[in-house]
Amino acid sequence: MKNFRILFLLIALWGLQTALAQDLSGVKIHINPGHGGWDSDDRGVPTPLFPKVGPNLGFWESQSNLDKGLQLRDMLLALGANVQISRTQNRTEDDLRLSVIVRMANEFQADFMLSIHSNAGQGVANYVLMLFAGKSDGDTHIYPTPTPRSDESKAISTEIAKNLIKNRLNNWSTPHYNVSGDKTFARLQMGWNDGYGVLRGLTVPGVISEGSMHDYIPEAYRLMNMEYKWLEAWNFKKAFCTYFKNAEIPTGNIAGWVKDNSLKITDGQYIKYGKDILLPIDGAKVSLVETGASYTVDNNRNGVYVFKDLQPGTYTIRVEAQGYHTQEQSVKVTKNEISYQNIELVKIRNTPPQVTAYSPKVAENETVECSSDIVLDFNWDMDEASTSGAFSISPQREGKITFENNTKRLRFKPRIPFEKSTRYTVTLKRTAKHPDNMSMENDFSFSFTTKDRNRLALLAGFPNNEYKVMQASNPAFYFIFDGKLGSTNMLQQNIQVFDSENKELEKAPMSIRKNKIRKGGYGDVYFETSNPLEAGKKYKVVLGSDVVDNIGMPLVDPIEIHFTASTIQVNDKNVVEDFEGKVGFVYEAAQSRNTQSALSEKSSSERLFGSSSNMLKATFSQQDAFAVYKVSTPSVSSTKGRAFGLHVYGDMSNNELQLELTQGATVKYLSLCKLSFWGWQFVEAKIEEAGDYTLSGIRILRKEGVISGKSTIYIDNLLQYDNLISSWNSPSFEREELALLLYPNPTQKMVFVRSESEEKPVLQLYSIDGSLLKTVLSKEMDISEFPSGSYLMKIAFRNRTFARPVLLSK
Amino acid sequence: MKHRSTLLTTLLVLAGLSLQAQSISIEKVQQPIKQKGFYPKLSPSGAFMTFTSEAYGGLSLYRFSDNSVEQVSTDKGSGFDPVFSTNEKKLFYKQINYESRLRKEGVKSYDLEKKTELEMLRPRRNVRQLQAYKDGVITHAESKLFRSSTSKSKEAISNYVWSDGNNLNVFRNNKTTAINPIKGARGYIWTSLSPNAKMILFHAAGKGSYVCDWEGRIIAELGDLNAPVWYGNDFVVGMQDKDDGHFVTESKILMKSLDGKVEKVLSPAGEIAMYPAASGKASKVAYNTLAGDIYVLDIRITK
Repeated sequence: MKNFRILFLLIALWGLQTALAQDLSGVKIHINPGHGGWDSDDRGVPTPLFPKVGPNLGFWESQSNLDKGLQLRDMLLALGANVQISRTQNRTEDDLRLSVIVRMANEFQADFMLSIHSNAGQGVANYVLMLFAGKSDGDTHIYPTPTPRSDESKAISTEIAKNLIKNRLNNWSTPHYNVSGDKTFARLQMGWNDGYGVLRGLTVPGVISEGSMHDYIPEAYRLMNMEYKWLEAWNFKKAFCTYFKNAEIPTGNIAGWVKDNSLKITDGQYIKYGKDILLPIDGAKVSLVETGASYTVDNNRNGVYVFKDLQPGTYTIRVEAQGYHTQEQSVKVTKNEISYQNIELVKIRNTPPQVTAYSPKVAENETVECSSDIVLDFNWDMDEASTSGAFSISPQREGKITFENNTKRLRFKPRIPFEKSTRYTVTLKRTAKHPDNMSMENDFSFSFTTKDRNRLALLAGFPNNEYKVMQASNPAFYFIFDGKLGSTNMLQQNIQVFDSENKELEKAPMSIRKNKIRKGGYGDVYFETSNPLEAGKKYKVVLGSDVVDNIGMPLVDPIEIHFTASTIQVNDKNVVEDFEGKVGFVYEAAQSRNTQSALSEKSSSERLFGSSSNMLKATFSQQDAFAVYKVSTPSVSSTKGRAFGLHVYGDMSNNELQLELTQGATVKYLSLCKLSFWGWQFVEAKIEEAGDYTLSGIRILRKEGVISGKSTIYIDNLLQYDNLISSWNSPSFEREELALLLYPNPTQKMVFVRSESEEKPVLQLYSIDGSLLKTVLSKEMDISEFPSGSYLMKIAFRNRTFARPVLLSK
Repeated sequence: MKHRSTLLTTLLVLAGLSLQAQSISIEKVQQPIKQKGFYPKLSPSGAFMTFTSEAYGGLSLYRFSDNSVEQVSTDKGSGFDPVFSTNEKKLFYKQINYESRLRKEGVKSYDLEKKTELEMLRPRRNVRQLQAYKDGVITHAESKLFRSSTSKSKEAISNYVWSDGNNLNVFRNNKTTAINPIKGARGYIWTSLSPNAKMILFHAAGKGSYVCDWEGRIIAELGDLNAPVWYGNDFVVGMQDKDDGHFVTESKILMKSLDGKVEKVLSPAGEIAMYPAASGKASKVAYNTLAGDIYVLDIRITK
């Protein structure tokens, strides 16, 4: 009997405590669910699940705040509190002005005002932030207006933060909560001095609760679950019970998530901390054995389940999902707490793993690109360690193994492309397992043969080793490759221009053009920098190893080209033709060869001096071709030792530009330049042969080149003077004598040296990165054993050494 | 139907009063107080102005007669809607303190001549807005009306209007009623009685500002106007503030006639002007900027 009395007393005491804890009567709380509606300031967050958000579609902070607020209101009303809530619907008209919200709380004479929000952390951060009215401790900044500190506000902010940080359903980016004065936070983090409007003018202690970060996608998914929001509301309630009554909630809760123990969420490229990477099991059924209650996980990729308001004790949770082993867990429920129990279900994998598809899969007489990846598809998700260990390729090739499609796909990417014309055999040993520890029944093997190209080759470009000067005011870059180029983004990232301090220069996004060459499968890219260069300064352009063509073939060896910026203009010599009057040269079809069409006209679009230049245009019908443009009225005479200089806007055609000089009935051509540059250059040539000459025309002579079939160039200010200019306004400008010729260039196989000397030079072929590839003592070299691309030929005579770029195009 | 005809009659009366086109002009702008201040209140005659701090802590009094400023109180919440007695000899204000973390408010008075303070009502829960009554003050607290007077006058309370944040309450003919004229309003705030005690000005959260009679019949719809105050019996001054959910981005002071025919922006473009006060008798409007500068305008209304 005595024992019964004690038991009764204990029950009565427990009941009393329960009653006290449940009693918030007389306490007045204003709830402000932040924002309202589906407008741009209501924080709709697109997710892979809902790429487009709209009314009642996808995550909206305005709706999430309201869900939390309404659930909190109901909890507080149940405890007898007097609650005012600033909105009960999610409409634009409910998005009250900050001044109205503040006034409502003031006139309600609330004991506390809670403004419920979630925050944005640029998709990366996810932490608890509480903003109380006033300055943080230690903030000595003088604000434009006095800032009363609310200690009550800080006290309850801290209480809420302590509760929220215990959440084990999510993965915080930092384990510490942040409780800050709103003025301090706004100044330091947001850049304004007046703090947050919803805390200004409050006569009530208030807090802005940024319970988590909604643009961290896994958190956005969780915040779309009503029970998850209930947990946050419950934590608010607990904080109020502690703050106002120093009382505990007599019941407890169980919350957690249900996820696959190994499959990963693969719906998008976003940050996933800790086990946020695991795949939530939509539709999993979670039951509470003792009460018979059950919960079905929603389809919003969060895995969340919650059992609310449970009497303290030990409970059994049973979790079932189709295709998974059922799992049971024992959970202890404590009053005033949330017991977190996350469940990782194990898939039922009851057959051995096997390869269901693979690539490259080709007939024995077919070949595959050297840049191909090796891909194996399986019937099950695979154990990464054992599967990686079972993979091999012969001949051996370095590479990286990754898993995709929730480890149902293995991808092997060679570090550099496979060797040319080589037969490879891929083997996956039977030791490869799936996570249920079941191995393959047999080894799996297949073979393939590669094509004879394993590098993307740079065929031509500007700047280059021959033309190392670029117009400072209009920097333009142009490169031609032996394959159509990949994405513009890839080019943006992998082709970079640096100044002499290694600071990258921004490319003008709208200037980037690629793959404009239609014939022959060639790829090209043109771009300009956003800002002009500084004349006289040195720069470099780097083509990175990851420049790839549209089948993924990389450049492999990076190319670095140094150049100098210049005004290009030569101003201190005698101008014999400024191209400002009538057109300087007139196309002469009768003297031209295999020229389909040609044109010469004044141009104001590209000019270096005055208001116009002379545009020369030609389309050739055969390789052996040239276009001649005649001087309208020949009047410029010259003689041996005199030099002509011309400002030329090149077109990368690789054709040759020549001046036509007439000596009586004899016509001679003075080579000015190879048109292997883009934009303006100054070029010059000296008359070495004796005699008196008259300038009678100009000629474009077609040469070997990817785009030599058409030429469009501009010429401006033709100069005549004594002796070549060895150095003009570019301090680094160097010009090698033209007494040596390396031809043909580009070549498919052989290169020859033609020089005035009979001496056989030492020819040394270097790769672009400076590696010596081949040496011969000869005036010729076969370079066909090397891949297509750019090389440097060193030509060493006893007294003089030259260097020339060589383009190999096979 | 009765409701509609009453409204129509009222509008016709108001329209009749304004048959001539009126115009509002600003005669003078001054910044009489050099210190920072917020939420100014003008006495009915316009002889005095109170102001407070950003969160209503402390109360200061400015006398237009000699441009002097005196500190009336440093109490928490004392700057929240103080009222002058009808003879303007007393200033009544509240003080906030917390007991067991619950808010309580008391009422004090300040003698403008003697510059002395007197406790009128001991702190208690839910002390509603103050309303001048003879040389005393009326308020509502804990379900009761309180009348505190410094004289021996015991004249019955004829009318009183107040908000509890959620309801618009009136006391008239010895009866308390929650009139709540606007359906769907989230709450009633910024309530006040017109100088002639015939009309009630209020803001219905989420709906806008209105003027109604004692029965709750709408007399004027003022639209998007926050913190409205009376300027005489025919005009209201308020603010149109906007925010981005974080902070106030713009706000202007607007004067409107009840008949809707006259409307004038009183603050300069680009200034964030808030929380106006007005005295129709003195033809004055005051407001503070977001930065805490108080401006006083002399207004002229011409017919």
